[in-house]
Amino acid sequence: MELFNEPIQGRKGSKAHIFFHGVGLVGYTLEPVSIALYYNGFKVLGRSKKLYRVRGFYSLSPQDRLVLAKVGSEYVNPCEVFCQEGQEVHVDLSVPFLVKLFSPLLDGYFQHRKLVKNKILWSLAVDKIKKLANHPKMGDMKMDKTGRILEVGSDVVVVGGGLSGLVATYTISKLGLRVLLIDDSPALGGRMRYDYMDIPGISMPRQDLLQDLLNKITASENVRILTRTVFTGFFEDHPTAYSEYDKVLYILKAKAYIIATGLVDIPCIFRNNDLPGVFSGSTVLEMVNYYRVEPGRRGLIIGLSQNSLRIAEQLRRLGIEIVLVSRLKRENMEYDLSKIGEYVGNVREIQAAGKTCVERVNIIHDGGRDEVKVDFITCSAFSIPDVRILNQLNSKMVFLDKVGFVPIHDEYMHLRGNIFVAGGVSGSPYSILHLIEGEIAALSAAYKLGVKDAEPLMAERIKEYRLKLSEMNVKWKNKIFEIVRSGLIENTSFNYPPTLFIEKPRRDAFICFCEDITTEDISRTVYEKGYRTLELVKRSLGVCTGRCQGRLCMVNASLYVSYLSNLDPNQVGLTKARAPTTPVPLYVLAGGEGG
Amino acid sequence: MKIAIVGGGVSGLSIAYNLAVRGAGEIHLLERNWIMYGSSTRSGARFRVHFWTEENSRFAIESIKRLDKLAGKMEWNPIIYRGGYLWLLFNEHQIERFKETNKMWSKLGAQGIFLEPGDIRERYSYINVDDVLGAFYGPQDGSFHHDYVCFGYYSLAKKLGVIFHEFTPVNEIVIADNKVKQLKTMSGLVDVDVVVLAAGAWTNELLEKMGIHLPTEPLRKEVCLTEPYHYFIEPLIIDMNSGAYVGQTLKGEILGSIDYPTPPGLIKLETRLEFVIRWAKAISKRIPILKNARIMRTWAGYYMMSADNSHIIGREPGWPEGLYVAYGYSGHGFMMAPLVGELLAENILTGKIPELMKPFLPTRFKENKLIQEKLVIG
Repeated sequence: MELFNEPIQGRKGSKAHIFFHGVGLVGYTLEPVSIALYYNGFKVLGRSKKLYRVRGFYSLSPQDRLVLAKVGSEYVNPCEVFCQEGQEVHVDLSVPFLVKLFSPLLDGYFQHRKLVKNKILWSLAVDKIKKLANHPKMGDMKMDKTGRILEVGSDVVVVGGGLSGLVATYTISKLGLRVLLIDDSPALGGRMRYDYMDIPGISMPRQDLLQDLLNKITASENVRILTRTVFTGFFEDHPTAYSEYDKVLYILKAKAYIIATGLVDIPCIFRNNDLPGVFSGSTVLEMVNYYRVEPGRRGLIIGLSQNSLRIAEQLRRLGIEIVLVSRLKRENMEYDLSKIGEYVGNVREIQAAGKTCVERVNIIHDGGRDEVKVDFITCSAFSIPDVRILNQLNSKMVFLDKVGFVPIHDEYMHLRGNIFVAGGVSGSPYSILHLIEGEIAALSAAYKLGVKDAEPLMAERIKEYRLKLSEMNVKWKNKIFEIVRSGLIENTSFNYPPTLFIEKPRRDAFICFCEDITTEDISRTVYEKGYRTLELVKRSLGVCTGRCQGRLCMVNASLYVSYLSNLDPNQVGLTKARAPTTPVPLYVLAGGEGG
Repeated sequence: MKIAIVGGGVSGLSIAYNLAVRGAGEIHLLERNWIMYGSSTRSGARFRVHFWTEENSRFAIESIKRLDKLAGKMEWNPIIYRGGYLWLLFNEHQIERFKETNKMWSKLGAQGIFLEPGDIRERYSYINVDDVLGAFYGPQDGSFHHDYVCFGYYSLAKKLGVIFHEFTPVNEIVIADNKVKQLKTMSGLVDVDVVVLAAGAWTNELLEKMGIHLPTEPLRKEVCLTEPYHYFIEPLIIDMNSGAYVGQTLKGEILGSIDYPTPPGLIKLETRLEFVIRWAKAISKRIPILKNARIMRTWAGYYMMSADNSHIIGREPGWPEGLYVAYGYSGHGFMMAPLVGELLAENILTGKIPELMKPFLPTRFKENKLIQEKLVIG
C-alpha cells in the first residue's frame, strides 16, 4: 500500500458565498451547509434540546436530524441543504439563565424530583419549564412555501441505491418490469460512492463496478430514479416517499417493494460522545472522499473491524494520523496495524474532551491511561442493519450478536407479502453477498409479479448464494433462514454492547441525542424503576421519540438495557417505528393551498 | 378475598390501586402485553370537565380532583397542566348550545368564558378567525402525561402489594354456580372471587364468552404528532367546523387529529396518509403558522365507544356473582379512571353503589336510561 501525503482537492460544485451570523464564507453549491461550515472551522451547529450542550453533526444523512439550523427562513437539518449564493445561516447558541442555574439537576428524572413535582411548586414551575426546551420558534419561519403531492406508479420500488439496490434495479429492469429507485443521498452508489477501496471478492475495481451499474440503469427506459428522497414508509393506504429538496411527497403505487437500506454506523457510547467532531465511520469517508473536506488532521477510530480498517487506511493515505482503539487484545491481532497508525487495545473507557469540539481523548485501558490529542473521532464499532422501515411493518426481528437486529426473511429474500429485502439491511456484512442478494430479491419480486423467466435464473443464483455463504462461513444468515422454517428463536450469546466504552453509567455518555438521554438516566430506569423492555424505557424517558425517531439510539438503548439487566436483547426488543420515517411539512401535505 | 383485574391500562391500574389502598386482600392484575399497552399509551393525554351532560361533567370534575390529589403521592410527576380547551364555534346554534350548557357547568363550578372573534385574535393571535363566530374557553381543562399517570398508579399499586402478571392474556372466565370461579390463562387456571374487566377495546371478547352483550364497539382513532417547537399553543383548540383538534405538548410537539370515517371494530392500528392530509389541510387553514410544522409521527389507538359515549362501570344484578366491568370510556379513559377506580373499589368492597356511579351502571342500556353524551372530540 502506498502512503502519500496529498492535500485533498476538488470540492463539489462551484463556489457560493454564504453568511454565518453575518460572517462571509465560501461554500460549494453541491455540498451541504454543514460541510461548508465545518471546513471553515464552525463546528458547532446548535445546542441540544434539554441540556443545551453544543452539538454538530454525527452523520450526513437527512434522517438524522440532531440539530436544526436556521438557513434562510426555515429551520432545517444543515446536512440536508446545499450551499447557495447569499444564503444566511444562523444557529442560536445562547443558554437560558435558568438552564445554567439548574443544569446539574436536569437529568431524565428532573420532573419527577420530590421538590419539582410538589403540587404548588409544579404549578409555578411548569410555566417556566415548558418554554425552556431548545426548539425552533414557529413564528420565525416564513410562510411562502409550497409543496406538492405526486403519484408515481411502478411495478417495483427499490429503496436504497447501494450495491444491492442498484443490482436489484438493474435485474428488474432487464426482466422488462418498471422500477423506481429511491435513495436519500445526493447521488447513487451507497457506500461505493465514498468508500474508495475495492470490494473484497469482486474482481472489478469499485469505480468501474459503480459506473457500469449506473450506466446500465440510467440507460434503461424501465428505470426511474429519485435521489435526495427519503422513503417515508408504509401508511395503511399508501407507501410514501418525501423529497425535501423538491418539496414533493410521492404516493407510491407499486406491486412489490425491495428494501435495501443498508447499514448504519451507530454512535459509540463514551464520555462526551455528543461533542462536535464525533462522526460515524461512513460520514468520515463521505467527507474526505466525496466532499473533499477533512474531518481533521489526527483522528481516533473506535472499533476494530474490516470497516474501521478501511476507513483508517483511506484517511492515512490522505496524511491524516490515526489512533485506533478497541476492546480487543493486542496479541490476538491478525492485522498489521503499524502502517495505519497507533493502536490501543483492551480499552475500557473513553473520555472525549474539548470546549466546542473534540480536542483530546483520555483512554483508559488495562495497561493504564493514555491521553491523545485528536481533532475528530470516528465511531465504527458497530454497523447495524437500518431496519426502521421494516420495523414499521411490524416485521419480526431477531438479535444476532455482532450483527444487530435482523428482519426474519427466507433465502429468496422474501420478508412477507410483497416485501423483499437485500443487502446490509438483511444482516449481510459483505459486499459480495449484497451483490447476489440484490439479484435474488429482484428475481423473487419479478417471479411474484408473474415473470416466469425469473425462475430458472433464481434457482441458479440461490445455488451460488448457498455456496458463497458456506465459503465465507456466514453462519448467521442460515440461522435466520432456519427461524423462518422453525419459528423458533434461540437465545443469543450476547454479553457486551459493541459500542459501549464506559465502565459505569455516566451523565456525559449519551444514548439518545435528540432527547438528551444519558446512560445514567437509562441505568436509573433499569435499576430503580425496574423497566426492562425498550417500550417501557421509551415511555419513561422518551428515548427513540426525538427527531431521528430512534435511528441512532434505538439499538444502543436496547443493548444497553440488555447489558444492565442481563437479558437477551430479543427480550428487551425494539420499539415500533411509525410512519413517516422523516418529518414532512404540513405545507407539503396540505398541497400548498392551505385548506 | 381474591380479586383479579383484567387489563393493565389506566383503568385497571386505578382500580388496582384503589382496591389495594382500601386493603381489599389479594389483588392480581393481568395484562396481555406490557402494562398500559392497549389504548392508554396511545392517548392524546388531555382532560376536560366540559361534557354536554351533567353526569359526565360532574364525574370528570371529581375525577380530576382525585388525580390532582394523588399527583403529590406518586413517584412519577403526572405533569398536570391546565392550558384550557378552546372550542371554535361557527354558527348561532353552536354558540347557543354552549351558552345553555355553560349554566350547568357554572353550577358545577366549571364556568367557561365566551370569546368574540376579536378576543380570540387578541389572546391567540395565531388562530385564523375569519369564519369563526365565537369561541368557548374552558380554563379548567388541560393535559397530563399519560405514561407517567400510568407509571404513577403502577408503582403505587406495586408498593401496596398488587401482584402484576404482564404478558398474561386471559382467555376465558370460568363460571360455576352463577359465580366467577377461575380465570383461564396460558399458564393455567387462577382461582378468583371477583373479576373486574377493564380491558378496554378487548373487553367484549371476554364478556361475550359469558353471553353478555353491552352496546359497545372499538373505534380506531388516528393521531398526528409534529417535531417539537418552542411552546406557544396554550389550549387544546377544537375546530367545531372541520372536526379537527390541535394542541401542543409541554415537550413542544404539536399533536392533533380530525374526524375521519373509519369502520368500527378491532381493525389494525395503522394510520392513513389520507387522514394525515385531511388534518394538515384543516389545521393549516385554522392556524396558518403551523404550515411550517413537520409531521414526525402518526399512530392509532382505539376509543371504546359505548352507545351513549359514556363509560360503563359496575355490574348488572343478573350477572354471575363477582363480575364487574369498567370500560366503554369512549375516549375519556384517563379523565374518568381516577374516580372510576375509587367508586368501583367502594362498590366491590361494600356492595353499596355510590351516588356518582349510579348513572354509569351497565343496567342503563336495558332500562333505556342513556346518558346522551354527544360531546366527543377526535
